Amino acid sequence: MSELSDKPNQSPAIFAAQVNKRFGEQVVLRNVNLQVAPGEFVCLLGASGCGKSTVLRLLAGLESPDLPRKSSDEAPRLELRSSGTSGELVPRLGYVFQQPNLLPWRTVDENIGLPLRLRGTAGNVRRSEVERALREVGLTAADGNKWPRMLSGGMQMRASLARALVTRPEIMLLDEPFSALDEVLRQRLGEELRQWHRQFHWTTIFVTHHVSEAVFLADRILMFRSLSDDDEQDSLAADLPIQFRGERDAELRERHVYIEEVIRVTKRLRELQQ
Amino acid sequence: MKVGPVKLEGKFNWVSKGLTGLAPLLVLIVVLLAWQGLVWARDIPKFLLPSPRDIVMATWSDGPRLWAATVRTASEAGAGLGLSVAIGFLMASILGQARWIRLSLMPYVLIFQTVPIIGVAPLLITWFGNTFSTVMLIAAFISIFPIISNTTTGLISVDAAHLDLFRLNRASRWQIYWFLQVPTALPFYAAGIRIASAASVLGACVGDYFVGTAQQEGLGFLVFQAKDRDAGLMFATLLALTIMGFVYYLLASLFCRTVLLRWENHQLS
Repeated sequence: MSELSDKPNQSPAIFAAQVNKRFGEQVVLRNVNLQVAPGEFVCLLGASGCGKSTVLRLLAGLESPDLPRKSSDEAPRLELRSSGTSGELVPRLGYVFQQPNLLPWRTVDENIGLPLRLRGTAGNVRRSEVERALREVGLTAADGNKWPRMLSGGMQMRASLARALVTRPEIMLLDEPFSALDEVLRQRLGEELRQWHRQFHWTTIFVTHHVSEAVFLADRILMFRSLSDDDEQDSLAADLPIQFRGERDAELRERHVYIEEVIRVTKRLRELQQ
Repeated sequence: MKVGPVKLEGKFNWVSKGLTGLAPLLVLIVVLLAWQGLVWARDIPKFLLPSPRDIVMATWSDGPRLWAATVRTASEAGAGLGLSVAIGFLMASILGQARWIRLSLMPYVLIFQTVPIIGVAPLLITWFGNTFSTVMLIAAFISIFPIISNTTTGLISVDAAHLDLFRLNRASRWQIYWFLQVPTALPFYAAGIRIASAASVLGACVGDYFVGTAQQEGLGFLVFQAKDRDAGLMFATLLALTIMGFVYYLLASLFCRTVLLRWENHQLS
């Protein structure tokens, strides 16, 4: 099924264990344990407010996990491991937000080049990398010279994706990036995302609350439950490998295996929320 | 989905278009005529209320003196504004760095706003003498607070998602300041400068009043010199001050529009 089971001895690219997070007294995540193999595409699926976006923010270092309340409890672990091909210990990270999140006072080019600029990359390298990123996401050089507000919502999201891939990341984290787009655009970007995932050898985590989107994209779905105060259940409710193989293209959406899988995962989600 | 008032507005659009430029001028002419008429009809003495004609005559006869005072006050106000625009931004930059800095320094920054300038002016004269610099400092003192206050608010109004983006890319504190906080604060800074521009003229006028001598008279000094001798000149001086405040405000607005073009562009959307 997933590449994890194909290569059982390979060390995971993303590893989390005993991760808890509360905001004030509100428990957001309870005892999250997960592993993602290099090159795997995992979707985090669950209702709004179940903490799936928080998992992403924890992995990206935007939040830190809670320390154990008792000293006998094991400390939380959050690890991102490099495959070693880039020669760096910590893998480079791409992160795509729910909104395009472009700086309105900078051109599209400057926005895409921002991560390189913050890293101190030389101007000529930056320009060629920005050009490459624009091309990869299907924007033109003319689009690059525009202000963000001059682009449509879909093109702004493409610019946002270009900014995430301009640093040539190994790990790509996406937080409901297409939720504000119309259905056709969302499907098209999903298809392209799956291509980039393979082309660039990403390890990808994609957060969504759309079952059909998750089934189309993922090798494996991690299903999260909304926590209630009175029980002690873990946040992670189910680990569902996707039951079909083959190309993730537009035709897949009309195939029986895909539709059956959407129905199966939806059933699980409904059971969970009862 | 047009509603009544909107339609009405559209119908009489040509009136508003034609009058937008002329209306203030018309009001001025009407007011001046009424004023002149009132003075003539009631035979009001000049020391009580000079007529527009008296004011024009005084401007004509005391032209060089009025002009010299105007140049002096304009320079004082301009230098003071420049000072508060520069120092205000630096102080806001310090305050914008951390909450604890704001908590510990903000009460003292408030002094600029709360201490009466007529108390500060004599003190500044004791320190710096009856000089141009003293008036400049008074103009800066009175105009700096809106710049500090507005710019600080802007520097800490950074969008949370934008900040996440910078933290993801391991931006340094300096990079966050320069690439994120400053651009976010620019429109706030501009608003502060616009308020400060009018205040600086007021400050220079107060400074003139305290510092002025016959050898170095600004408008603030001249207005009190003329008060008992030539009411026409006094009104002409007041007029010059008003116009100066107006021009400074326009210049500041123009400057801000040019400098902040990118932001203005953005806000048009």
